[in-house]
Amino acid sequence: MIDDKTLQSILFLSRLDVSDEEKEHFRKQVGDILDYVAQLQDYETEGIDPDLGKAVTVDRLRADKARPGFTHDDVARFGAHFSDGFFVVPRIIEDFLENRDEE
Amino acid sequence: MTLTELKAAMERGDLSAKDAVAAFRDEYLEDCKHPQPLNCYIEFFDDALAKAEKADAARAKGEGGGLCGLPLAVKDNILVEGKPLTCASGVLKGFTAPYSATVVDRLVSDGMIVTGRTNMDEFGMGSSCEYSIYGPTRNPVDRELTPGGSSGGSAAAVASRMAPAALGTETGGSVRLPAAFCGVYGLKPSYGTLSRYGVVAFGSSLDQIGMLARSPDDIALLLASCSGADRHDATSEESGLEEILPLRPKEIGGVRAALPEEFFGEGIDPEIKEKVKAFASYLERNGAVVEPLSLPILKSAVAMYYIIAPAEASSNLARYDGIRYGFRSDDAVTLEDLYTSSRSKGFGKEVKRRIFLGNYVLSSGYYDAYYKKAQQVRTILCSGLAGVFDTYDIIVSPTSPCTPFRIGEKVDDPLSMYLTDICTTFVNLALLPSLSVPCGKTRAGLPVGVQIVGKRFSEALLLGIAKTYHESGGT
Repeated sequence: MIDDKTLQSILFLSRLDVSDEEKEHFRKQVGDILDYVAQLQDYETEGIDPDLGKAVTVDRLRADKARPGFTHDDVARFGAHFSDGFFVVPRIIEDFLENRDEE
Repeated sequence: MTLTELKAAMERGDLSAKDAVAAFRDEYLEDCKHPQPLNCYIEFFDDALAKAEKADAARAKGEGGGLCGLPLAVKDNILVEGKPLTCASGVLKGFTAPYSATVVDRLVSDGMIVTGRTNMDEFGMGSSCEYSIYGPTRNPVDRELTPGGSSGGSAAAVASRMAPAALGTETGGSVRLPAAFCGVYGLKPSYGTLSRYGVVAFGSSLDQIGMLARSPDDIALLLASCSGADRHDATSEESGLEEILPLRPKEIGGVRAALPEEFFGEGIDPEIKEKVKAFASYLERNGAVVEPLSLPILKSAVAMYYIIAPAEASSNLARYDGIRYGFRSDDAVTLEDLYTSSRSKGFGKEVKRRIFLGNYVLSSGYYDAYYKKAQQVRTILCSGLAGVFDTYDIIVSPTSPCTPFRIGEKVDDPLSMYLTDICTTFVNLALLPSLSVPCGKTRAGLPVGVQIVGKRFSEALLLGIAKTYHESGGT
């Protein structure tokens, strides 16, 4: 069973906010899945290499040459708020300073 | 008509690309009027007809590639330049692809026309094509049933004659399962056969583009055009499959086939078992050596998969923060709120569940017990399968343990949904190629798929066996 503290911590790491009802669904459903995957503990894995990547990644280097990338116009069309060549996000400096003062 | 038949008809001058695309579009528009539309296309592209006309003009001048004018539907997680792409998710609403995936680029360079983008489970997470902001796709065989997922839109489009072929993607069986549920062919190529550049990442060590079509020749046609190394993807490789055409029927005599007992026991529908055994008997009658095999670790593939895939997904999906593309929540005050609110409103419940699960198994205190353990057991699985292929050419099993289930039947029981992938996930974990071949119908008229798995880069063998079987009229 996933305890409240772990549940909150993982939701924070995931940058997800869910309703109390959804939290209980998560707790139950993810708990069931974790119970199911516990069968892997039966395998003896001492000294087994967990890295399959080196078997499949080809050492294919590209020439070190600058090539055209996306233009600002391209990026502006991706759907985010974009102005004067920058992504626009909520202010953070004031929040940071306010929080620091409160602390 | 199959893709191969369309190609021949166009080359003979019996059919124009414009007429072919118009016929598929008409089929789609007609279906939209149905009280329960299949909902296999998210969008049928407005410019498909104009592109077909251009293809006809090019052909008339003796130009155009080897696939000139042939239509193709593409899953909504594969980039097509200038077209919207959402992965059937709210989080990517408003995003337009700035370039085409390498695979699409190669097929279009060879003359293919992308007719539209097909429905899917959000970010490829699902086995039923129900977890989509556009609503569920229905199975053309019976509209009350799911088409399987996550490439259910692509499979339904091919099975319902709204497209002669389609691209899907796989992380754990998402091309093969819908192929089996809809009664068409579905290939999951070896990891590395096709570039993943321009495919929205889900589980990077498992993801592959796959093909859905109505004959092995059609799949070979596509594979020949778009396989091979790509400088944009260091995991893509020269597989030699550009030379697969003409696809030759494979002499079945002498083929060594293994039937894993793990996929014929409890939990497998008896009628599916019967059909797959009939396929094995067909191989045997034609001279193949068919033997039972026991490899118990195959039963743990789903457990490995549901640690590794969500772990990789939680990392890949971290990029959807509401800042750079797609959906942004309007009611955030701080930057932290912006991330959390955009993600919470943008993602659907299955995606959230997998992000949560992925972050759980990767988090401090659980990493070694879950993620590292699963990767180590994966290494054991790969070694075991390498041993199997020292003795056998192919592994034969059902594609799915069950026939298509009803829409809504499993949505609240994720573990039960995940177990639908029990016969397919080991293939992705071990980077192997696998083909789902239609092998008859149950007494209720539901399609059954048999899965043929081979060594890495043995796609020509799998397709050759399927061609022989296909041309013989099946079992």
